[in-house]
Amino acid sequence: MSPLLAQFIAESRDQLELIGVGLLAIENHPDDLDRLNDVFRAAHTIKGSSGLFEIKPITLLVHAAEDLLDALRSQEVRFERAMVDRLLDAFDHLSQWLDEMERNESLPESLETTARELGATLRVFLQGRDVAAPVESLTAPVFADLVWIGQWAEADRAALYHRLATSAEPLTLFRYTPDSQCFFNGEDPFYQVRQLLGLALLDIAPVEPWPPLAELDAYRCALRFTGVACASLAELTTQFRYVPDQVTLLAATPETLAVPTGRAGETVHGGFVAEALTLVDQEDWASLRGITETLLDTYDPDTWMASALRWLLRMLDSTMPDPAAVRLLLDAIPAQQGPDWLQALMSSSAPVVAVLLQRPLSEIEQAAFQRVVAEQARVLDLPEDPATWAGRIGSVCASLANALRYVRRTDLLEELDEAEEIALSVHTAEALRNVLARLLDDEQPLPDEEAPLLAKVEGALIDKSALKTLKVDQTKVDRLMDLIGELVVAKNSLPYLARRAERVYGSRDLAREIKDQYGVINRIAQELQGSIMQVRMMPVGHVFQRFPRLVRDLSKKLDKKIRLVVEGEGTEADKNIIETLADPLIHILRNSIDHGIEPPEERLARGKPGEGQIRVKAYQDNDNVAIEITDDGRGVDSAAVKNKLVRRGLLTVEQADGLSDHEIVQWIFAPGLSTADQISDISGRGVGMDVVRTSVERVGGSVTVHSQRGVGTDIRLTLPLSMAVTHVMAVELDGKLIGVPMDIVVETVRLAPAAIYTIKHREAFILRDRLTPLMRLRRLLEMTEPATGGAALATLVVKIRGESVGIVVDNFREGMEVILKPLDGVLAGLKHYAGTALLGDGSVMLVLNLKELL
Amino acid sequence: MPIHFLKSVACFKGVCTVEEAEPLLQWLQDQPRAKIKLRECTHLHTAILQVLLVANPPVTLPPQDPELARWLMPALQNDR
Repeated sequence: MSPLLAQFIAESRDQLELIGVGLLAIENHPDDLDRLNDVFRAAHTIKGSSGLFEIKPITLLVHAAEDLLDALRSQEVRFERAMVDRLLDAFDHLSQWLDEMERNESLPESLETTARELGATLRVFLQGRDVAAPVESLTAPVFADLVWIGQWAEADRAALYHRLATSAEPLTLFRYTPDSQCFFNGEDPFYQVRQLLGLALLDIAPVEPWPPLAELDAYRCALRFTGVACASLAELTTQFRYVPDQVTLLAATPETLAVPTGRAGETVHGGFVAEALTLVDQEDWASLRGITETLLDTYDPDTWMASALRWLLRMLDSTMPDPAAVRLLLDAIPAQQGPDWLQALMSSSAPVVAVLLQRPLSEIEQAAFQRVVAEQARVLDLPEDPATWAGRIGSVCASLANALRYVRRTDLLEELDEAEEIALSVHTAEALRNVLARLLDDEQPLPDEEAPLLAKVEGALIDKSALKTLKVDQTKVDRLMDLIGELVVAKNSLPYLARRAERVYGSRDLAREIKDQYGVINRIAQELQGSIMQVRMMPVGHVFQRFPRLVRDLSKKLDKKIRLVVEGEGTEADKNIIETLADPLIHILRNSIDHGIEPPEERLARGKPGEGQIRVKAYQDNDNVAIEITDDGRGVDSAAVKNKLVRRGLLTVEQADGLSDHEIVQWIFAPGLSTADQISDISGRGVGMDVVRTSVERVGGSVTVHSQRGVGTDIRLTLPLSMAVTHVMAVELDGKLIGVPMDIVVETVRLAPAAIYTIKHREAFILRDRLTPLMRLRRLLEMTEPATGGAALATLVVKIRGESVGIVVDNFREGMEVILKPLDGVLAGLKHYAGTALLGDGSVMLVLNLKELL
Repeated sequence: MPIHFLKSVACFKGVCTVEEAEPLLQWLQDQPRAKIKLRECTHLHTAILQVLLVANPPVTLPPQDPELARWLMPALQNDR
């Protein structure tokens, strides 16, 4: 499988888990927008990534789900509980398809129909919603101003202007700031820019000042391409379709190029602007041309004024000069800066505005809006001139109206209209100024509820990037673990060496030094071991995540009301342990739901609340993790268990009668015992609790059950925190070392042969007033037994399944920590041994599995 | 190699790819009086362009490719 696909599958599973948890939370709190956003984003991520592969069913289905989630998020549809059912169902299918993908790397085509059907069930909820086709919004960033157009030589711009005047080609401005990491994606921004249709002007500049050559990172793109192309906005949009977020595009008019440049500060011929504006109103282009040419001769060609006048002439050269553009250029002359073509474009180019309608304003847009308003205020404050008054008010109001539409403050349009009328009829701009003042004060003219929401999303994103998580293949960690195990073993050989130095070579000093060094290495090795263990630790909550869904589904199916309480999800344990836990826990939970919790009527009749409770609690208990599953259901029917045990021939009637209820209840873990009267598809197939016990014991854990009839059941799993290091007690047998897991060793006693009783063929001894069975390890392993005479017998007392047993060994040795390697290959069948461990002197020690042996 | 490094002159030929950006940067760092010839160059990767912009070595022969010369040369001759 390609690594990309493997990653997709792994990540999608993570996302699905998030979605599952999120959906259940939403079911109970439909107003929880944060959750809804989480779920939506997760679905969106899956959809996005799925596009990389030929897996149409997944894309189709997630797309439908995403649409529904989006509609919920934007509150276009009302929440219904059935939605969660359908969504969960859809994502369940998805999860199965991912499994299928993992097996076959592809999905059968027939699934596409299934996907469409499932999608249709989701889309049912979308009916009745406004089905306004979403507008493709690409131009996320916008230009703050267009002054930068002046960077190109006037002659070049003039040539382009003339070309556009005759050919009527579209003109689009672009700014392309490639991602700094883009080279690693195989992108070549310069090449892409060179390929642009109708590229006319181009500027290549660094985003920030260049570092010194010695510090330059050749593979970090720090360039920005700014330019003008004779192509339509749509064409450029297509060409930049893979990097929409890095490009700013703007459809422009040829006049946009008319940015006068040059030395400013020349005196402006006072009457010229007013006279020219009058001529524009009369559309007397020839006269305007005349006075402009005359004035141009009085200025040095390098000045801003000369440049502005040349542009004015160029505009007038066209057969049909645009009065608005000419007026804007003339308006710019008194201040000798501008004109602000961006504002003109915003007022006139409807398409750009339409594209942007769907999203909230960016800060830049906000600033631009403020600037437009300020500019209008400035225009209003210009010396009044009765001749141009109407035109000026008209243009101010038109610009304002457009700007208001742009920022979606249509509520103010009416007021603006009124102000315009007043201004025109009574010749005073007071009302208009008031409107402007309000807009200028209004720091946040956004009555949009989306704004805080958006901020939250951004916050979440920042949090995410701060989280430094590394995904590592587990085999790599395992390898590290093995190596550390070897280090521990190698380290253990140092004490042997020290002993040799002392005994064989008679050098005590050397021996002591070796021991010192051993101490240091030992500490480091232990810390190393501790840290790698931490890496492998994960919270048990990982397994618990599935529970809410299980409880929800099953309780619905069985018509029971069940509340699940989960505690201590944060408790950590080794990954392998956690993984082995998953199935047993689910099995126990199923049992509790199916057999434990009674139907509501029965519960009420017994005086319990109608809603049953299952509590799953995890906590750390010394070197173990304990998990308790408690329900307040009907408890285990010990009489029924006893009956069944006798019927199955597992116990005789006498034996059974001799057991307490508590002891009887433990038998539910025996193979082939299911007390439920009828077999349901939820639990009770007779493969029940013994599987739980087997899998828990396999990782060195234990399971106990407490149950009180009518009150409830409490099942407790105890598991080691980590399987990596095993404490063993070494014993000597026939001159060899044999390990016994320390956790079952209770004590060691030296037993006089006289203290041993023989009952029938079995041996036993009295330990603290209790008769304890005695086994001989040599006998168990079918080895010959030398006569020991009257010497005391080294006896290890171990506790197996709650019962003490004495085991006679040749001699005791020290307790030690070892890395236990399970037997594999042809030896894997030897159940009597839990595995082997390498000792410091290089020898191999077998570790017994006493549970199997006895 | 589309870039030939001579003693103090680098000759660019054909399409110069991203892989050559690092060697070029190294060379330019070691050769403060470096000159470059672009005559036979038809395209250079953005990464190379960037290195040239920072190092700003004199271009003795501009590209023959008129289109490349048109976009490249103004940028390279900035701030000279």
